[in-house]
Amino acid sequence: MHKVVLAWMIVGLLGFFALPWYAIEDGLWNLEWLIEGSLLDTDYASAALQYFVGDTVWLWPLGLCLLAPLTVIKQRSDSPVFYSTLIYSGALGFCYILAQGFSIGISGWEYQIGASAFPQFDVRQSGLGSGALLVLAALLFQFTNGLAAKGVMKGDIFVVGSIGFIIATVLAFVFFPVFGILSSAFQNDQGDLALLNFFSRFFSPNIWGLNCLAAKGSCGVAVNSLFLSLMTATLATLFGLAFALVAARSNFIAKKPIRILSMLPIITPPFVIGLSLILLFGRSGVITQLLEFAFGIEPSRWLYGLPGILFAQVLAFTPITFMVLIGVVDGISPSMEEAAQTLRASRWRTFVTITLPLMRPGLAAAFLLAFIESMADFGNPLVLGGNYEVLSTQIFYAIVGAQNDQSQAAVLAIVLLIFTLAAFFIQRKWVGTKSYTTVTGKGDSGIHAKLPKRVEYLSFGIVLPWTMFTVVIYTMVMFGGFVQTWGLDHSFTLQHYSEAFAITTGDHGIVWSGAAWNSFFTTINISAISAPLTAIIGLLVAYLLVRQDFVGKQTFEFGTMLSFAIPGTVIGVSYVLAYNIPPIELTGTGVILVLCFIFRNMPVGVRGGMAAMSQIDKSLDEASLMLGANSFTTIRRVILPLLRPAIFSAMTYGFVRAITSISAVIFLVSADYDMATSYIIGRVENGDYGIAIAYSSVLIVVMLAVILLLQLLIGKRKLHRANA
Amino acid sequence: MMSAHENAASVEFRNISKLYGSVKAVNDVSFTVEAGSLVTLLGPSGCGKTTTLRMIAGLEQSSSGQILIANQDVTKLSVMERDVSMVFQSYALFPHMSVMENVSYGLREQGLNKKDAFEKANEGMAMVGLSGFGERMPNQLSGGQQQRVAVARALVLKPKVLLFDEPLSNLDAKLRRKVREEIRELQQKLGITSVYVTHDQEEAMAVSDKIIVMSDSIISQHGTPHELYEQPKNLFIADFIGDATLVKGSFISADANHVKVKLDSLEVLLPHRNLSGLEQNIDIAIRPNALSVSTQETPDSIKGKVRKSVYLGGHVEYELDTPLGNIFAIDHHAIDAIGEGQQVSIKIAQRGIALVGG
Repeated sequence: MHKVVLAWMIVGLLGFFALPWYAIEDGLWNLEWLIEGSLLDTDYASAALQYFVGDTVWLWPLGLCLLAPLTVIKQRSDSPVFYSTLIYSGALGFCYILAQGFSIGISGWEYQIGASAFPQFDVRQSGLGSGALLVLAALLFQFTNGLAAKGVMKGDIFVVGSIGFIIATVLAFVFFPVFGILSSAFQNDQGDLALLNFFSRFFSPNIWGLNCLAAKGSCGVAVNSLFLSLMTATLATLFGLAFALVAARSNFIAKKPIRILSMLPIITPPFVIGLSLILLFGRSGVITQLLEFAFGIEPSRWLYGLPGILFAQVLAFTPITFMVLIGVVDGISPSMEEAAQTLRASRWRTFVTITLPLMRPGLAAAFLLAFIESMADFGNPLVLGGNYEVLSTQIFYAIVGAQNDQSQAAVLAIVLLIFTLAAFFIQRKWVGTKSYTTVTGKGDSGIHAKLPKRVEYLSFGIVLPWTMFTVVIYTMVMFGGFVQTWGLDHSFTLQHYSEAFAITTGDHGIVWSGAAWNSFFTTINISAISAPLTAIIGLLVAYLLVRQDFVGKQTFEFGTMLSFAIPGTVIGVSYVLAYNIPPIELTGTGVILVLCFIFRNMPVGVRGGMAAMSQIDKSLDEASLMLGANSFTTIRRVILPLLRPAIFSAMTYGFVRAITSISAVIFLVSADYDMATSYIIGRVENGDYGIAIAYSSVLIVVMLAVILLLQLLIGKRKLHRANA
Repeated sequence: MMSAHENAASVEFRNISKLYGSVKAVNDVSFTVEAGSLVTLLGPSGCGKTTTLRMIAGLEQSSSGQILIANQDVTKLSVMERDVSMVFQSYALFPHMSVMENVSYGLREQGLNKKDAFEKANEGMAMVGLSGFGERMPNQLSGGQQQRVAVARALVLKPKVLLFDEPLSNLDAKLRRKVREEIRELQQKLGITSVYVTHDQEEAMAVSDKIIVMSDSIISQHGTPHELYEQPKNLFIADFIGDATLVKGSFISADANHVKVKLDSLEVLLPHRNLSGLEQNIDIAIRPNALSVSTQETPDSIKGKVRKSVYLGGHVEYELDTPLGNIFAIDHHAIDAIGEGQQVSIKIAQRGIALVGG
């Protein structure tokens, strides 16, 4: 206990005395701040030195908070003096940093009250930097160590510290930005409170209008989004069910390929489907031209708008509903169906009265998932939207368009958030409480009932054309990059690849001269950094949720799962708004991308980790604790080795999602940190389909390679001794 | 040969309660486990015995009260700081580690280098008769062997206190008797303070120096196996420890040490243990195997009728209808069962009659 307390104190003091207190524009690793003399520069000085170089007197009390543990270090760890000192000094210091960070901004006092209380100070400061980060961490853990010493969580330092850490980061990177976007919606351009303004914007016919029901005119964006999402969710759920039935219940020979094929969209950037639809059905698409040639049908722009988006989304999200439903279909106990059949129910009656009702929660879950995905989808509407306006793209245009209207974006984001959160809540409340789990773990042998003929035919009627179509799409993605100009000149060329990925040798060796290299390397870097972090935090949260009991656990779970229901566009906008100004100034850095990926993708890691962890007997942890290992070691040596499959999927998911996501990324990229998806979208908007397709296929191949590599490295857990 | 004797410590509970929400799992429990002894927490499921054990371990935290190990307050200390080991019901062997890695796990955590840890682990495995099994994986061992690995893993740390959470419940009936003797033998040889949880009263009688019987979150009675059997404090104990039929007797007279009680037509003399209120109410436990049943008229016996009889080879079980009420009897000397509906006379051996109360 004492060692840990001292270690964190040293970390804190290091941050306080040695590292730059404020964020450095060129990044800490530039090391410019280490160069002689510049330590005394206001921009680079540590908190302790700020007093001498910049009249920054208000940071000194932090030093006292950091040193407070020294006064009681001789005490027993369970003495009240010891833990009270840690708790109070830690909490005080932590809150003090936040208070000063929020009240003193880059142009002085943020609030009038401060300026009038301390008129003698001319104060101003920029965003918190590495020194501040260490001090914050040290004070946070000083606080949690105090709680542990007091006996909270059975005195487990690691567990209390983890809970504190997760709460602090989720507050900082999920709740704080979302709160920021809510508040900015209620403000006018001058930053004053403007409720009336908000209501007039919120209830504007541009959002809720129903003109499309009448003869002419278009509906509001919210109505458009809602309609689109309902349609997508319905169709995707139906199609997913057909796939699940074919894969689980038929004797179809190609069941395995179907399962693999259904995984493909996971490693496909979302708009690639939309892109290939354009290449097939667009005005110069292959099929359009074929129809014109054969039947003289005039090429039209029918694809651009609701039909196109719906088409693309159903294609993209059916695999997701399939994955939910295949588990449900597999999970229905055969004895239920056998019982029905011994009671004289026909195949059809068995399917309608037993199989379908047992799948109801799964169907609901699949529907809601597809609904949320469709609402949040950004790439397909952007590529295929035409005049059909939906919330996610309108948010984007409100920020980057000519109007640059932040509060309009905020209002739209709130509408979007209301939809997805509502779906999220319905799913939790309704599906969460209804469980028809029929597999009990006891031996439950039996044979599933055969599908009724009409269901079987219907399923095959959906699955077979679909499969062929998917094959066509992916063939096109793979080969489209080798074609001169799609639809006009189908001669073979390597021009797109060389433009994007050329490597030339110059005076200083290899030059990555292709246009795509910059964003490619950034993407791989950022993804490779955020994937393990996502997995670590996700599994840590899962560990806390499954293995520990604490007050407010449900709220804790809700907080960590919340970001799943927040559409990427909303996250993107809220990050831009929240981290543009001190105390946390991250816009334009790579850090903001990494953070965004971690907190967006964490919920899936949490879910996977929870499922895997609840299958590991809790007495294993307890045995390890009793043998003198602390809970950190227990996780490292006992839980993690048994969790390898979950780690693999969390890492893969984190990596793949970081590469393929676009909706949040498009707000957060900068010249220095451009991501592949936003680069490709830019090309698509310019009509450079060749490069876009070439780049997309490279991404898909890279992701496949990485997944295989991870599988090889982490692989399956070892419970049996290898045959030596 | 290693010994944990010098490390043995007492365990003391002072007014410990444990609440789950508003439910009291353990209610104001106090007891002391003397250094070097084996004490069993016995009771039906849900009585709070496992919670009590886990509070000694530090796996659960008490809601109020104090826990002392070796006279030191450990109430707020974490699991790791308590110097206590535990053998789990499921054994909790780490499935991804070999037997050697399992047994040396705790030693390595204490900072021993690999060589020393393996050496000590080998000693531990020798102690439980598993030398040479170090390379095996847990799933390559039988249930009994896994159990012994779990014991060895706990013992090599020379803990102040060794805890057993229903260690025999996953073994088959035959093996149980053997393993429980091994555990007792090892415990006595090492002189290690042990706390043992079980719901099987025979197992408890067999291994314990003292037994703490719990029921409904409180201690029902605390004593040696002999005390519990001969001097049950209440009807629950009388019935739970070694079976008993509970009957009412009527008071005749009492002297300095004994009380004379009338049971139907019989008069018996019992040690009264200074119980009060005997004039009004006498509860008596009759042990089933203290009864002999005969179709012959015998003196000093009560009359009855056989309601049910079950022939089990070594003995015969009877349910008898008597003026005292229904009585359950086990006759170990019968050659054949007496048929149902027969009139019998029942003789009660003095050692099978105990006064209930305390």
